[in-house]
Amino acid sequence: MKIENTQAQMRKGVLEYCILSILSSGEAYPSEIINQLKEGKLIVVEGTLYPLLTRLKNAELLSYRWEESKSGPPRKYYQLTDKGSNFLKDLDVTWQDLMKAVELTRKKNA
Amino acid sequence: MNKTVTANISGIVFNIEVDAYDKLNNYLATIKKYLGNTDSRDEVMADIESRVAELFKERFNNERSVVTLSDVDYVISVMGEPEQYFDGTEEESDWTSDKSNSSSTKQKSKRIFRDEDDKIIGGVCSGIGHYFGIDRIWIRILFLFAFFVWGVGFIPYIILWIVIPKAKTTAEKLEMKGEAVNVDNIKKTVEDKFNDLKDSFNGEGAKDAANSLSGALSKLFTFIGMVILFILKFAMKFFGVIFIIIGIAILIALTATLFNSDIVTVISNNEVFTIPSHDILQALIGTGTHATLALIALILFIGIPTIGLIYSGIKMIFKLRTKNSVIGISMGVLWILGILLGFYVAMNSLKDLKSTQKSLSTIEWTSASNTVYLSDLTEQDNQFNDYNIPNVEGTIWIEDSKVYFDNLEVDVLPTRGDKIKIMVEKIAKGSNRKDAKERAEKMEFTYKIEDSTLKFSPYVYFNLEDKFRAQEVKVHIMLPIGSKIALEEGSEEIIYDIKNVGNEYDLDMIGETWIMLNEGLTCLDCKFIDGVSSGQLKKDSIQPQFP
Repeated sequence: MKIENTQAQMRKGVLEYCILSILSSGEAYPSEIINQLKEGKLIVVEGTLYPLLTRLKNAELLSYRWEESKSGPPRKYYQLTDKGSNFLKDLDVTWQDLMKAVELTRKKNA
Repeated sequence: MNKTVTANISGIVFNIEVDAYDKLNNYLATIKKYLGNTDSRDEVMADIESRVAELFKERFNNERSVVTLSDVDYVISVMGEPEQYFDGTEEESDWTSDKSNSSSTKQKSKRIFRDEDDKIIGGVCSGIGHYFGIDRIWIRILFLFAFFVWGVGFIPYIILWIVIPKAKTTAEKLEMKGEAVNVDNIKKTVEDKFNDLKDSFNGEGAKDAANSLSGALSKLFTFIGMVILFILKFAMKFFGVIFIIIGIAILIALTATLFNSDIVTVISNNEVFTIPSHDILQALIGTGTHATLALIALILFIGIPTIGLIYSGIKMIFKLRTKNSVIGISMGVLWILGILLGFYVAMNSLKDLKSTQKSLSTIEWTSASNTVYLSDLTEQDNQFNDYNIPNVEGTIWIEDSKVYFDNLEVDVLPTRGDKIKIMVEKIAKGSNRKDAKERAEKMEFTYKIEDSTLKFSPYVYFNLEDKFRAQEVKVHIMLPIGSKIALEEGSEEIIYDIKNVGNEYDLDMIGETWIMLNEGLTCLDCKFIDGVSSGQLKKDSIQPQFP
């Protein structure tokens, strides 16, 4: 069993959760999302985000609109859909449960 | 100084140095490959290109306008190497198995190549082994067997060698060794597709009913298409195998015919296989140049379509789409050449049929009575050895450089004389009168006289080198009025169209005694045929004019 696979697996779920969380406070375009994710060291390179955003969009959790940009090509501004908001609420609960579960387990076995 | 090219990235025009352009182009192409053949690929690529353009713009800050190699390196460092896009293998596989796109990415069809890394002759056997997922040793044994047992494995091997390309690139080597093409795997693909279909009917998509229904319908049609395709593929392979088997069988028959091998009689004892032998060729055409030409014509005329049959069989089995027009055209030309050669030889042989000549002779015979008993010499088994005639069968038979041909005909004619006479007409064809006459005289037949019994063999025979030129012997038994002839059982093999008063058929005349009267040959004391009775004859005092 490769540690990379386990790490990637963990990160994958968290990454989706974080993207949805970032967008819960309002719409954003990819660079903004990337900057926040980079701060939290969740991603290292930007490339990771684009396939992920498209996938969330295809799953109808996100929608986007185009906006002209002064510094380059038009930007895609992403926002949560209703489905996405519900999805995020569910994830919030799951995350709390997981945190508690991990904490509890680790405390007991520490 | 560096050459630049202009590139449109996401609607913005950039001047890019050539080497920088190459690197960027390569980078984007690699990402595209990583994304696989999915619907969302183009969308993601557009997003990425747009970000690349944005990054360049930010970096230039409106101060310069040429993208250099370092700019491209910077972009790559920000965006990440292609493999980082998916952050571990899990993500990548998740992408490629994305439901709606599963079939297009998973179904990398395997192709056949010759494996030159693992070859004995041309890598054909190991290539076939890879294709069907069988150990190459079995294929090799099969071919070795075919080489030695009939020598016929040779031609299919050469065709395979020509038709199957060798695996050159790494990609081709991978394709060569990919998932084996066998019924199990094809079945698996169809099952996957079917499950996919079932999911789309029962699955989560129920919320958006109309949408999922149309999606499910389109999947249903894809599935039906797949099943039809599967059946077609299977039928293709099935017919491919049939083609190859038929082709090889013809090849065996052809080689056996050419080399006059015993195989012919081993395979079948029926005449279809025994007739086209070397001897028949000599009997029809002779020896020398023309015979050789005829052989070549035969090889070309039968061999080329046979090779074509095997070739298309191989193509059907391995789904090869090679089109080698040079080979195709030259095969066609050779085939037509074969036909022309055949025509030439046939026309030459037809010259031998120009003239027909007869050679007349009589058989001296003084009968003990005024009744002739006619029978078939070969009907009595023990007669074969006595008369040096082989135990022949069929219409034509060749043995010990002699041709035996079932063409002796006996008929009965009236004569004004007072003695029974036997006239023999030997008839043959030739290129001129002399040739035909000589051929007619050389021909022989076997007969035997025992007291009043005349026995003929139905076969005429002649030397193989005289060739087969419509030789025939007509024996006319000349009966004086009042003489009788008894057609014994078995003589149906030798009589032909004997004229008689009642116009009875030859077969009906057998077993009866016939008397020659002024009106013609009449049945004597017959039960089922109208004729005369002995009593009637006595009353009418028709006495045989036999001394």
